[in-house]
Amino acid sequence: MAAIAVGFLALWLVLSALAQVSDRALRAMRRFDVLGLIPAYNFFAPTPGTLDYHILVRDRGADELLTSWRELPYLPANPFAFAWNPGRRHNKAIFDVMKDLAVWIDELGPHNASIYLSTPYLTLLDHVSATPRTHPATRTQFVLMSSRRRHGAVDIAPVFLSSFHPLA
Amino acid sequence: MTEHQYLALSERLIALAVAVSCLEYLVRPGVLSDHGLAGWPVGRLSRPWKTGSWGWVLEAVMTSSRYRVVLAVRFGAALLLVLPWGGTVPRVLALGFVVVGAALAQVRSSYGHDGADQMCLVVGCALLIARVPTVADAALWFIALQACLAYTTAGLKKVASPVWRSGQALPGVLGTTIYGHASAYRILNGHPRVARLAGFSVMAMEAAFPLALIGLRPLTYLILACGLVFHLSTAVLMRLNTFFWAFVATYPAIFYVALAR
Repeated sequence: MAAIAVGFLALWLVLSALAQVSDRALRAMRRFDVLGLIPAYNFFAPTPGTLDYHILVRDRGADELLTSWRELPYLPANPFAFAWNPGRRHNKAIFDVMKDLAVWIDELGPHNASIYLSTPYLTLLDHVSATPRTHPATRTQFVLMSSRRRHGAVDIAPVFLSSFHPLA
Repeated sequence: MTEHQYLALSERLIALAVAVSCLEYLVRPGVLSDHGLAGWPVGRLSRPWKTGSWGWVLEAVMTSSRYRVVLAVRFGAALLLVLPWGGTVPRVLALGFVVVGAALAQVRSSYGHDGADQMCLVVGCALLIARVPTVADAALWFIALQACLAYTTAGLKKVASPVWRSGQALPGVLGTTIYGHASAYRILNGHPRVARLAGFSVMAMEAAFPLALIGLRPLTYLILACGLVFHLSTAVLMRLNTFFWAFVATYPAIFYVALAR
């Protein structure tokens, strides 16, 4: 029993080290790593996330009129966030979904239909569609924007514009 | 201290990270709700096996109401591990639940997790395996080497990055909404030399971390102290609160491997 346990730890350590050296190895291992045991330790490296991502939504009513774009907000930090930061999961999820979608767009191009069936796109569409509305709407559309603070100014760029989707 | 006392200390620290994390989810469950960004209805579609023949097993625990129960039980298990009492069997069961819960979180959705969750899973599994008789020493080595791998990988990848070497990385990160800090951003953005120095300090600490294992007591103390300061800084400036507990939970193992054997 002890030999099996030690062997398992040794194998896990070797695979973890291999995954840090090669992105291809990491991707290959993660295909089979259903429990997320293989770590990726490249925190904020090599290229740190210096972009903010923004989800903006607009709706179309039965009268075909469009609403203005409105941003889905990040959850604000509290003064004790160094110890207690419940909003970070939502904020990190926004970042992860956008980064994931950016990878899909980068690999397939922005007009490839497969993007519309990707997990990040479906996640965003589901989230955006369920957002409470104060007005009657029949269809919705979202745009992903990125922004970067640099030398006191903010650079803003569009990342992706969705199609219009019917609302239930 | 015995090897089991080092393991117990590590267990308490990792349990603190898990307890805080679970409670944060329970207080703000929106992200896990059916239409949340880490919701199960879409998350289950991300891999074919999640809806395959084993799908019903996952459905039994992953729907948002049931998953909240899982989180509550995992919080209770983590709390039991933080406290100094409880017999061997309840503590092993609690640790098992903490580890299974960490794996379930990875299965449910890949969105919203961070490196602290990853380290909790790695250390938690190792602590569970350490319960096998005569494996404690190997488990402490495993935790120490995983910590060194984590820091060194992060450090060397930063060293290889022109953005980090130029000194633009820290002001860039501290200018963002989710990891940013207005005052720190202003200082580093206005003083590029300070930003470069801070960036190189982070790279040096992370890349040199394995030197903590070579057995020179002052060097081990120095590197672990730098690690503590680093994680306190990221907790205060970047609000990476559970990183502190998750990574400091590996320090007893580093101390054991370097100095106590």
